[in-house]
Amino acid sequence: MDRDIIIGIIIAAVALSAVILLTVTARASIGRIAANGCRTARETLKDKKNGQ
Amino acid sequence: MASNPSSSSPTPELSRELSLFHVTMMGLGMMIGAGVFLGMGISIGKAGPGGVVLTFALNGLLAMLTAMSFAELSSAIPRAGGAYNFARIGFGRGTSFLAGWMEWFASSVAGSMYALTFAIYTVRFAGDLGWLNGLYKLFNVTAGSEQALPVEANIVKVVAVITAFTFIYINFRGSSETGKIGAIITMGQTIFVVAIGIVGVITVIKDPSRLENFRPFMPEGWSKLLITMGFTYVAFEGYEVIAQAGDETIDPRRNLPKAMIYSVCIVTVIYILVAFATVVSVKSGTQGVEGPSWKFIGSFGEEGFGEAVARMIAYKNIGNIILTLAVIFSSTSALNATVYSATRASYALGRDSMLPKFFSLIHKKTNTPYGALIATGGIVFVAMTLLPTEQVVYSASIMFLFLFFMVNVCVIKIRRSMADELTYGFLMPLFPLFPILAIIGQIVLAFFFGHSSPLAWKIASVWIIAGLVIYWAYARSRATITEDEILVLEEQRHHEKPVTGKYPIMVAVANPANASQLIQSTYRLCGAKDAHLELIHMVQVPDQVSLHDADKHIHTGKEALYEVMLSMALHFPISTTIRYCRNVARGIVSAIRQKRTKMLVLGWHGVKHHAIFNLGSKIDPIIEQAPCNVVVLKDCGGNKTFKNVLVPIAGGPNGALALEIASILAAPDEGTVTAFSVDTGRGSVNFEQFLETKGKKFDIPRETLKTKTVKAKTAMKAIMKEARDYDLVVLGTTEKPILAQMGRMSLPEKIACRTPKPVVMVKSDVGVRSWIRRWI
Repeated sequence: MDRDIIIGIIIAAVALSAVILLTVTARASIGRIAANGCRTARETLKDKKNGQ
Repeated sequence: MASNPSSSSPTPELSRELSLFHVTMMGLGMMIGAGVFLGMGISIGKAGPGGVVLTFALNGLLAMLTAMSFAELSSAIPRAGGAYNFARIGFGRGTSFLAGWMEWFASSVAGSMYALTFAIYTVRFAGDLGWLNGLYKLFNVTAGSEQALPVEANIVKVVAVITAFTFIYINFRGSSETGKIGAIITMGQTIFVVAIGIVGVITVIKDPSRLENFRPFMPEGWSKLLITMGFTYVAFEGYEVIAQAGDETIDPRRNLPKAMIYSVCIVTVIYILVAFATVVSVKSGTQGVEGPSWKFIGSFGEEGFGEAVARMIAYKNIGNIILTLAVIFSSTSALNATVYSATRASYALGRDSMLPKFFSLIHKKTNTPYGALIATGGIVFVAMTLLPTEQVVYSASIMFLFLFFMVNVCVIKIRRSMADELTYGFLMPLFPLFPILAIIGQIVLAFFFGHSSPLAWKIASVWIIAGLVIYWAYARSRATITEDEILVLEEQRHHEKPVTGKYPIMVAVANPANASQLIQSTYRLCGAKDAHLELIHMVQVPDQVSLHDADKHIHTGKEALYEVMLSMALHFPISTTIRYCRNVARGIVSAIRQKRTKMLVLGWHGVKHHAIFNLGSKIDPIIEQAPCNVVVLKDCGGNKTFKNVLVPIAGGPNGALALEIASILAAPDEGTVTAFSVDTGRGSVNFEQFLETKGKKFDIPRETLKTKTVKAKTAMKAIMKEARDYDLVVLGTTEKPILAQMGRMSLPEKIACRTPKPVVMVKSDVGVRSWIRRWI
């Protein structure tokens, strides 16, 4: 297989994996915030600031 | 108290009917359309077989990064308006005008693109069935000959114009396709496109030799990849439409971000699959295919995808019928949505008085904004008839590129400046990595646009420059403040007399303690400037509190307002305003813009309370964002007279304003102002040159001005030591944005905090430069 094809397959695989990974990560983040009911991202941010 | 506006003019609210499935399908419906049908053939011709697959894979990743920004903003501000709304909240009305202006153009040109897609595939289908032979005879040409090509191109344009105006008329009648029906149509077209991808994979399994079509992988070089990425960028713009559905979506804080992320993920997988199928659909050496298959497909240009797919399906005529039906469904639903979106964008600009009233005209019978619809039709028509199809796609892509660039900047600005007051349903991880990566990607694509389509660049530039000119010449002075929950909720004026020819000074009054220290200095400033005084009191209303209860939040502010008013009303024309807002700083900045104030006067208690903010959570953003001169007074109350005033100068424009303010505040007869410079080994300020350049815009009396330069190791110690001998210290604020300081206090702020003397801090409005800095 020539070099361009190998590089191309790697790039396509990385891009596609990144898209899927970002989807899964984002989905988990949305779910976590919603699962906590009234807990909002604002509180999450405050927790982050407080190092929790 | 004025009555609450909500009681007299209830805010219209749309019923929330669209579920996660519906909004995801809305986004997919916008994406699976011209992107595949037009872009695939042209992209294969430009970038080769490997390039087309990588184009869609990398564009999918870039789209996902921007979709993250859209998702976060839509979860925090889940309202109709999309980019226009985000820009208004993030940067104010100038930027929001530009966003609306670009959105209008991008959606209108995308409408042209969808109409052309419909026309190209319909004419192709009719030609294959021989329905156009009579028409060709009329022009004395033979179907399929080279002479027939211009005739076919004109037929495509005519069909596109008829299609576009049919949908503009449908929009005018108000019978727009709803999200629910649209979702069913989108399901159909998605199934069709996925089926093409699956057939492609099956074809390769049956005949693995077709994988040879990928050799050479990048025949035109890797740089072509960036050109085709820019070209097909428009194929991923569906999440913009999802953002528009904020008012109609069930549980929008959860469903909008999910729909955006899902739709981009789904469409990326589908596009890669379809790109693969298109490449393997034609076998080299078979009938009519001479040379590499990618060149054969590319030679058909925008029809390349159709030609390739028709060859792959065993029964060509059936394949053609299915393909044409799929194109009709997808392009018409996308055309309908883009015309709707473009009309809504231009209507919003007209409604907010940023464009002439014509844009906000509503038809009495159909209740549709026919003015905006006519204007949108004009752009659609011009783009469709005057531009080649490829340039239409390029123009739509580049404008969406600029629009999404703006949204990526907005998400950073909004998270940085108001994250603690918005309720986010989704926060993107690793912030701000993704928007920054998206911005870099968009800049690279925009750069390559210049090479691949200079015409589209010129069109986009002319449109944006025209927008800026219209804003500065027309919209800026006419724009009305629209109801915005985050900015200003209500305004009440006790005194309403238009004052012309006076220098407008605004004094922000918070409590009686501040009021007493503001009176004397403000009196001097008003006298020197022949001013009209605007007293303003901001009432911060928490998110959870109904506006009906807003007056409960006025505590001492009202009394402070009256105290200053009583002292000043005899001497100067005066207005007082009480404003309800969610954020005091933004409320004041908004009031400054609305009232075209030239100088803002604030009181400051002089104590640093917060680790992040230097002077205070309210004062810091006001100093940075206020589009006027700002004067902050610390401990200047009572009957203090300032005989000796110290003004440390470092050479910036704020120093010149500091000299002017110092000369106003100095005691009238015996007061002197000392311009003070510290030479720390890197040279001192040349006062003569400074006054000639920076000081020429300001009224600085030379007769009472002294200059002094000392040599010292640190400027801080030298100024603190010098300040002991003076009654007042006037400082220009730093030019560095607050974000760039990262919580570290600048030299003027340190001095203001530490010196026991009365202090005045000033910041001059430096116009466009300041505007650009706020942008960055």
